Amino acid sequence: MSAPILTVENMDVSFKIASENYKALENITFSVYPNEVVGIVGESGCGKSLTSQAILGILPKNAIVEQGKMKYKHVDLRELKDKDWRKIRGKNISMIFQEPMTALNPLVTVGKQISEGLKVHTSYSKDEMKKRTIQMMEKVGLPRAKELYKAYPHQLSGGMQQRVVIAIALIAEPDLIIADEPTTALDVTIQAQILALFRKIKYERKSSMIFISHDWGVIRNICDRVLVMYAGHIVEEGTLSEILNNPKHPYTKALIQAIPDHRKRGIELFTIPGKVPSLQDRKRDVCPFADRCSHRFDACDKEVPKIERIEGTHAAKCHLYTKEAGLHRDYTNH
Amino acid sequence: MTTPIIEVEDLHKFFKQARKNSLDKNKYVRAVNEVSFSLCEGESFGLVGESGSGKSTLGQVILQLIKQTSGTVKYRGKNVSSFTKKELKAWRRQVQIVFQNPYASLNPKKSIGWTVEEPLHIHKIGDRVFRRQRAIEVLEEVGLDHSFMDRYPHELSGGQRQRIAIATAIILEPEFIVIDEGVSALDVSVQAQILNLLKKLQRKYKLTYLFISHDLNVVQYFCNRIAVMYLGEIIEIGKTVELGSSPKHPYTKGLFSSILSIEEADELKLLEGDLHRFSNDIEACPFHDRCKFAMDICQSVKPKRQKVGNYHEVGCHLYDIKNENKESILKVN
Repeated sequence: MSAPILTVENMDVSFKIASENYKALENITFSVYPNEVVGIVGESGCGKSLTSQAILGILPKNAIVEQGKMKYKHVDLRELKDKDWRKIRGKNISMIFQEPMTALNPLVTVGKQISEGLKVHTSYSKDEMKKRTIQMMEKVGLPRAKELYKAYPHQLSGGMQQRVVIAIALIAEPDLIIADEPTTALDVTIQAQILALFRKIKYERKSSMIFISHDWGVIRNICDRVLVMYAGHIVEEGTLSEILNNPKHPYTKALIQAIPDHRKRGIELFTIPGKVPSLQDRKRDVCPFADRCSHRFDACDKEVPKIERIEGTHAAKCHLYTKEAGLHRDYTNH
Repeated sequence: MTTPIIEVEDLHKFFKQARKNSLDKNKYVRAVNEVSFSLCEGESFGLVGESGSGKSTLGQVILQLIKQTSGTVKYRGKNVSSFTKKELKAWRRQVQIVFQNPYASLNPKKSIGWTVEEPLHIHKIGDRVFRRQRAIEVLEEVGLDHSFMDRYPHELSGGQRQRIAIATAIILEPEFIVIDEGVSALDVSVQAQILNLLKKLQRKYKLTYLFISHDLNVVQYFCNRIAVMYLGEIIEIGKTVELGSSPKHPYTKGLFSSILSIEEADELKLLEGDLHRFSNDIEACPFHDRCKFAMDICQSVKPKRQKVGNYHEVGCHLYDIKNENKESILKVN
């Protein structure tokens, strides 16, 4: 494989709440390679969105990156000043948010919002910008682009608004796109259309993407590689088929088993007892999943497991797979 | 099949257009249009469709939370719109609703105990001691202990709030519950907990559910029968097994092929376009402008629902008896 486009190494992010420091992300390490779609899955409150905010330098005011490295190609993202960030956001890395209606400015026409990226990052003439904007609108499947150029967001349906948000993200031709639950607010039929658009973007433009979702169906249909997050940790990573067909971490297994579908009719659904602990209730220095895990044993309450390579690109952060707990290795065969 | 608990006949609900939007010049929105179906005791009936198809409006009209424009809703053979105020209140003990957003449906200023006890207050059941005792019982039923009585909604997670909403709905021991996107806002693992809880309660109290959802995976898991709504009309209805494995209406086909499963799947078949604004073109098939198989007749005559299987009905001209080409047309798909 060629050099990664993005690398994150041992990143910790903390929140300051009432003068206490709470670790929200711990030891986040991963890379994104050219033309690769990396999915991040997990329940709400596991740190998926926070990870993307840390990468883009748009963390909430009371959160800081405590340590770790973040590199986009050769640029150290932690060193960037606001002025430098403006040159990178949109042009090199861009972001697509979940709620199209809150991401768009209701008072500005769709055309203006899409062409803003060109205004900031290029020196095209006005006519050229308009021409490129309309081309981009057509590319993302907005019908009657010339008319819609002058429309306001509220005149469009949810699916069309999301296409506008995607056009905004793509207009300056970034090579890394971070999409945070981009189809969650949409109906299934529109969701399928938007996912098809993302696949087209991937093949035509060779862009890389980080695709955040809690929906395994979405992940299954777009991602090459998957990171599973739980309570601020990456607990498992691997290729799509490694994760879906051969999940190792008890959390990943449970999540996949909890998905309802028609084949499970009449069968009680598998559930994970309890809930994701809130930031203040998280225990330090033990396995973050121990309290909800059906395979818990003494090692789990002694230390945080290290991420252990299982095979090739497949790795899990679980004591069942660490060398110290060799006795339990036979679990891998189940 | 057993006796119907709810019968809906030719139900209509039109809303007046509040202001004229440049894209839509109609005076009325036909949110529910010519809807007829019945619900059997003890079943879970799924109502699916895209946003704006009229699912929630239908659920609320059935409970008489909004009045219909025309048509009847019968509960155990009795016409609910002819109920007096007193009868309506008595009937409300039997029917309940659980809403989608557990963050919006609980009063933030009232303790959980107050919220769960409120239905008993309204119907003047028992004294203070009994009400508190009963509330604790119901909380335990939904998997929460008595310590929740004195807590407030902001202290709870989404899953816990939804349990409270369910506790409030079952405290009067109703027979029929409308669950309007009741698990949509929850994470998968919590969603599974709530679905299991609903199943358990159904077995225990012989509940009948009208389960409104846009999530076809959940509906196919949870429901015995499914009705598909499009622009206010039920265009297909049938047993989950039948409808799920061989949907007939071109819209249902598109909808079901948009389901994202974690299993290996064929390339998704895309349904073009999106749900149009409600049109006043009442003579046409509601789906004709998005349909790949639209024929001349679809623009001039609205199809009637007709049988295509034992309990399976579809409203589409492709299944008209006279249409001899239907098999060949559908095979191309």
